[in-house]
Amino acid sequence: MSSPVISLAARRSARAGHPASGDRLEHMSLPSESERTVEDLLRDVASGDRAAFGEMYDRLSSRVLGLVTRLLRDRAQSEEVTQEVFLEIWQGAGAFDRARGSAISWVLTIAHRRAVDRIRASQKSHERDLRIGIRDVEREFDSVTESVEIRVENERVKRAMSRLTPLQREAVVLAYYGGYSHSEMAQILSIPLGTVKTRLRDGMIRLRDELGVTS
Amino acid sequence: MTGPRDDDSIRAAAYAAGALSPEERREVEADARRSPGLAAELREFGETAAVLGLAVPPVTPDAALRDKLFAALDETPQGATVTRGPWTRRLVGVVVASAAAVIVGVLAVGTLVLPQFAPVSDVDRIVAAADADRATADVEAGGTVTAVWSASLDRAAILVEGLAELPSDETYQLWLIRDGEPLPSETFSSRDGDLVSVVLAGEMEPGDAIGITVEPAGGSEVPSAAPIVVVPTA
Repeated sequence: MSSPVISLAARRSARAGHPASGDRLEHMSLPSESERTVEDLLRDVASGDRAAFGEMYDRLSSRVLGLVTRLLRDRAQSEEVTQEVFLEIWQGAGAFDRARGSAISWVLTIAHRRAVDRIRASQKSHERDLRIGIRDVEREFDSVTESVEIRVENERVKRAMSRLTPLQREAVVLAYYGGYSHSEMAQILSIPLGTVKTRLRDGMIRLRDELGVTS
Repeated sequence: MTGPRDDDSIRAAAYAAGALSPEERREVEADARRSPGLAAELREFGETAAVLGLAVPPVTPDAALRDKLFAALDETPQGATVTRGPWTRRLVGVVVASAAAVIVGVLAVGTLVLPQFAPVSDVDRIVAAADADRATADVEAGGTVTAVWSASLDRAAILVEGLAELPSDETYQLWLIRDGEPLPSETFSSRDGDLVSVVLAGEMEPGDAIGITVEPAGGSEVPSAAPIVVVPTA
């Protein structure tokens, strides 16, 4: 199906003079008028370019804070973590390696990791017990947003998620949106660790295939 | 490639979904440097997780956060965050003389495990250079030092593992030894057993050796003792 995301990617790629790659992530959070990819910005940030850093912040900070807030809930803490995330980007931009993934994925990985570390440092798993449970999964993607781009992304994930078995979905949601570790999930769900691991793996494989992610 | 593909996908999926402990994460990252199969799985699951991240409604940060962030940049050096030692040329015989006396075991290192959340960006760059070369030497009192350098980048870094922790009034200091002259470089500390990476300031020239001494806190301009290790880079 032709979604705005894909056409945006195609437009950009045509302009950049190379065919659309399998991985569309680098294009997705790009304002369509912008010529510079997040990869471009990161490269400049690595050499100390503050303007590029500012542009990157303006473009990605709401995505970072959105994700961190989803995990931490607490707004003040989430802003703190967001600041840490961008400082890490500033410091570590030189370590970004396109061969290991897209820039947006690199940024969100840092954000996710820092949010998860903060949760685990500050909250015991039983206190978070089923804060996000299976019943929340359906609601997880019901959030209304004006942005077409995000709605498209949202729909895409929701559709892909619906192809997972309920147990796989639960594992993915608990891990990614709940910040639970393997062993915490095993405890909460009262299932063996090995089962958690394969469930999460199978869920991620299904998602990857449904989303058509290639690298 | 280590381990069956099955195990790779379990670890990569868990890594991307954030289900691993920090230690497990570091293991996966280290293993991925040796295993193209694992690296490919990490890439794909990483992109998958990013789509999950992008599906979350954005939240616009308070405007003050941007200002705070930019103010913090001044205190946030890029790349290696090590204390910078004085960088002046001094002619001193002590390092040279003792360098010859130090028994240096130079070994080729097959793989190099980098600490992930230490400031590794510059180290990464050096390691990734097409002409990157490396040598390892053991420290007599315990620990190993691996020097990594790239002639095209004119930069060198060291990775130190297992060096003893020093009392607070002492520090380790690096020296580039060029034509027998020790040029003072970074100081660094080591907690017992920690893996530490330090990029040496200044340009490295072919044939430079890298030495480490124990100095009073703050570092010295000339070595105050014989080096605990010297790693030749040629």
